[in-house]
Amino acid sequence: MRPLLFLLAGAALAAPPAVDGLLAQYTAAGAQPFDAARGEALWKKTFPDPEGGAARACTTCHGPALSSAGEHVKTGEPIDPMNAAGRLADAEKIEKWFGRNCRWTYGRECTPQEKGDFLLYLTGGAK
Amino acid sequence: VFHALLALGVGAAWLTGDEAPAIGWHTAAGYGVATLIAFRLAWGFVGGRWSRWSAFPLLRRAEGPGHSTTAAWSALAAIGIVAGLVVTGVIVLGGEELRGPMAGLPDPSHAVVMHTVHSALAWAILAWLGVHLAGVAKQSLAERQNLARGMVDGKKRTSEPGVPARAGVAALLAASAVGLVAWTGTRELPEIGDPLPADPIYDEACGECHLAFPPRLLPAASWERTLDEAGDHFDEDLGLDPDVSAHLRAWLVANAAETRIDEHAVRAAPIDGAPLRITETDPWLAAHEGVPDAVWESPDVKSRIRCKSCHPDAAEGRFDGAFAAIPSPEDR
Repeated sequence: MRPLLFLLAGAALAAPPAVDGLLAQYTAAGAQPFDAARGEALWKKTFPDPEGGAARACTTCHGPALSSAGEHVKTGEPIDPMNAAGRLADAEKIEKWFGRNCRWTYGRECTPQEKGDFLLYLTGGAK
Repeated sequence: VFHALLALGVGAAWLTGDEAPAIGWHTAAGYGVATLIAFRLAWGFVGGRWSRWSAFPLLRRAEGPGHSTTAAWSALAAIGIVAGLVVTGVIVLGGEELRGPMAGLPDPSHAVVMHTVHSALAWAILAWLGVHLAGVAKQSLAERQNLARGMVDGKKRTSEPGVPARAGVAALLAASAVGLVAWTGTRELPEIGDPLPADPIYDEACGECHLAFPPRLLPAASWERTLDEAGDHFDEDLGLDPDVSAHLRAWLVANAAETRIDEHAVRAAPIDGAPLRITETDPWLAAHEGVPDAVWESPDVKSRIRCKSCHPDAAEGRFDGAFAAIPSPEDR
């Protein structure tokens, strides 16, 4: 428990205020302490396409590493690396993309626990 | 000198035609020719003796040196045809492509007619050229002098004294001609002209995954359907916020193909069946006919939805065929 709290505190220092606010919101919604390693595992896990196409993961569009520039798998539109400056600054946008991308990748909404784990991983909590 | 430049300009315009990417040269040649014609019309009042309109025996029998009646009519016909080409060309450019000095002014349906007239005049000038060459050859033989030489220096091989040209007026004409070309040249830049409607909410909501397509490329029914089916938008549930969705609907319908009169909109407005993909519509298919399948799959293009792979003006929503270029692997 204690190392996890340390991680959370460490991430909170570096994380944009929007992320802090969302983490507090997810905790209030019943999430347990967040785990960046769990977020990373889910980020990279592939899920079958219900219609038989190629398996999907976050990395399908976002690229293999957080520092990779990505590309929309269908339209080819460039996507900034997840660790690019100015990313994750707007809580509303984060929620919008969690909604759209969880539904596409997993076929369902993400839980507050999963979203918190992702945010911790994306803001550098994995180090 | 006038003759050589005019022949060069018209010849260049003829050869560059209306196919990309040579259209840039075609319009440049057009502006050059326009300048020459303007110069020649004025030169007819202030130029050298044999160049003056007063020296053109249009209604009387030609006497002595100078143009014969036939040659005078012939020169006038050429100037008329070329002037017609310039005027119709500018109307086509302004109506169909929203470029040039008349950008956005002509009604596109008129521009389409003008395009036909423009093509007909292009054939007319070719036919005229045949007659012209035959005539000059015949007269040169008959008069035993090289008429072609007069085109270089404007002088007639005769002992009669000429009337000197007015150098100051000539310089003024040349300067204004350069100014005209410079002015039209800047109007030619793709970013100048009527800006197309844009909306920051549309750009963000749609433009983060693909080009925020100009609403004029589809009729209102297509945009309504796109929003109605946003829960399954090409395999994605967009989950649009209701306020955002309502804003997009209002803006897209207000700027859909039916609301505009430019070339793209006029072609898109009659599309039936509310298609969701622009790339399945007749105007798109017609405009991209002949693009080999391999292009769409090449790593530089990737997909039909990647307009900007070939259209540098896609972000402004213009899609002027004149600027489109299929990327070649060497460019990478």
